[in-house]
Amino acid sequence: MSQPSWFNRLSICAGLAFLYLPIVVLVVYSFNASRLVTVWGGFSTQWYTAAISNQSIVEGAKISFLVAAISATFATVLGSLAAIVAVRVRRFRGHHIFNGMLVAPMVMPEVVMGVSMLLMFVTLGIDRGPVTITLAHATFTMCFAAVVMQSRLVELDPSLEEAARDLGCPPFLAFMKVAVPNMAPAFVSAWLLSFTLSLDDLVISSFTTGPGASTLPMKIYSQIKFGVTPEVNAISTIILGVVVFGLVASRIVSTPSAKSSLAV
Amino acid sequence: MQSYVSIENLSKSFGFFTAVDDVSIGIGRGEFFSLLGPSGCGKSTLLRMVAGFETPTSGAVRLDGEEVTDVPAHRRPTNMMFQSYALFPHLTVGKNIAFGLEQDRLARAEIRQRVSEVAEKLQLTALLDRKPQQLSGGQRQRVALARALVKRPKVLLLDEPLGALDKNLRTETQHELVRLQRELGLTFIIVTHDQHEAMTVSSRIAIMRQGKVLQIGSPAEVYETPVSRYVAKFLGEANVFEGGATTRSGSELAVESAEAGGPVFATAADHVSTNGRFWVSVRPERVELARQGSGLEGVIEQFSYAGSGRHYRVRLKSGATLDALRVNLGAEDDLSVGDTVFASWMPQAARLLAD
Repeated sequence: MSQPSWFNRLSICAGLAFLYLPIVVLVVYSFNASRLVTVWGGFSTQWYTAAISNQSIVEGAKISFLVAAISATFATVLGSLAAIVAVRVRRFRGHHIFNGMLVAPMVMPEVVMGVSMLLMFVTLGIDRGPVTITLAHATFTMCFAAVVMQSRLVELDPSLEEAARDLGCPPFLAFMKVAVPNMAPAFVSAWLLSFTLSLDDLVISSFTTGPGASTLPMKIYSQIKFGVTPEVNAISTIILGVVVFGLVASRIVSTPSAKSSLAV
Repeated sequence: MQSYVSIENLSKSFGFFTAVDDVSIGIGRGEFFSLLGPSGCGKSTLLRMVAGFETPTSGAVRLDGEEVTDVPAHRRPTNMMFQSYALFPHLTVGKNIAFGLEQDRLARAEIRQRVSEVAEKLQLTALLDRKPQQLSGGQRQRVALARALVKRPKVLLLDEPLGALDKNLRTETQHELVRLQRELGLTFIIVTHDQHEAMTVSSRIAIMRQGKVLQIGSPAEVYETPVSRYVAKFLGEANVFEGGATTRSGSELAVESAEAGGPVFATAADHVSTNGRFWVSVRPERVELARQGSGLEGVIEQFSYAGSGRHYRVRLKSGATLDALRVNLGAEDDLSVGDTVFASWMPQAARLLAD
């Protein structure tokens, strides 16, 4: 490998700056003592205090975390089942279409998904609120969970379960005793990914929410309408922290091979 | 004789592809039996049908007199050693070995007893607390073997068990397998594509091709009396020449061969017909090369030194090539590339093949 040229270095720096500078600014200004968002007035954590004592924000955060946790659980269970079918049940009629439909929601416009789910809930006469947001989130995060589980299942040597059966385990037990423990990191990874996706979703939540059920991103968005306050910066920084933690944790648990090869 | 493992007219098709085609094999108790063939010949599928992982399209499998064709894998008295070893990565070596016994709900004390017994036999005692990822290839192979053996199966099935080992360890392990098999008196069925391995370990070999069994016999039988050119060439090397007009004196034949460019000699039983197409096959190590004398005249085209032997490729006058192998007994090599030589062999060294 040759050394990167100054042009390579510069373009990488420029690219990364474009991506991350706004976030850095946001985080820095969340510690701003000044009331004005763009003027630095010294270091302070007062906006964090203000944010967590803001009843409306705390309420939104509670709904968001609850929705994220429950929908992530649903998404992981459903996604895993879908992945098992996609990987293990080979060559059934239309399995290509099934695989395609499994991942299509990843690229489906959120607005379209939001509208269609809203229409469905209205048609079915379901009162909109935290429950409908949870259902909607489980639906759109499920495909991400399925993809995570699918990649783990593909790596898993199918002769492991055959070995278990050969040693006297009936097929279902063989799956539970051998495949499931070896998929555990992927379950955690899929859950964390679904959780973070749900946590920061605004569009689908807005379509499927009802009175009195505003998630944190919705609260922030409505506050922005009255101008950006340093409080919003503080809340955003907290969300950022949670999301980064979730993604890093999901990354760490999903690469057990790297860990075990280090251990050797 | 009643076979211990009896494979009766077994066939397996996947869609339009026939992986195993009407195979019948009888395997005796305590045999070390090899299924030998190139990849895709159906040998693994056949083994998997004996293990219960594949359902035969037709035919039957009997173990010790009992029909097991429709018995699922987890209730068959067979155990398999997988090509990938298939060790459970989340369990320690000890737990891996104990897995099968735990399925049988044996008492803890007995499980511990049997695990330590088999661990000792396979030099795994020091490794029982390790995870499979922390073992070397050879150690993993022994764990896989221990895990299958600890269940004391009626038949141990081995699917290319030594494929992942390097050559020295492989030879070592082959001897180890034979020793274990003798000691335990178990019936082993091994799948391999390595003819040398099959010859080394087995009491009998079935040579397979395209889903069919071509020949079954002891290593000496299949090597000395192959039924076809394919078998002759698959088991080691063979010089094969198409035969023509033949004069017979007793069991000895002198065969005119246009391909070889002269008469070649062979032996054949009286019932072997020399009408129609037939071939004469001779192993390179049976060919004698001399600077003068009678035989097929040719020029040495290639020479390779293989340690235990010297390998010569001779271009015959007819244009065909002939391989000869001289065992290295320490004598000076008196032949070199470009030399004119005469190749000959004893009539009993060559075989007549009808296919």
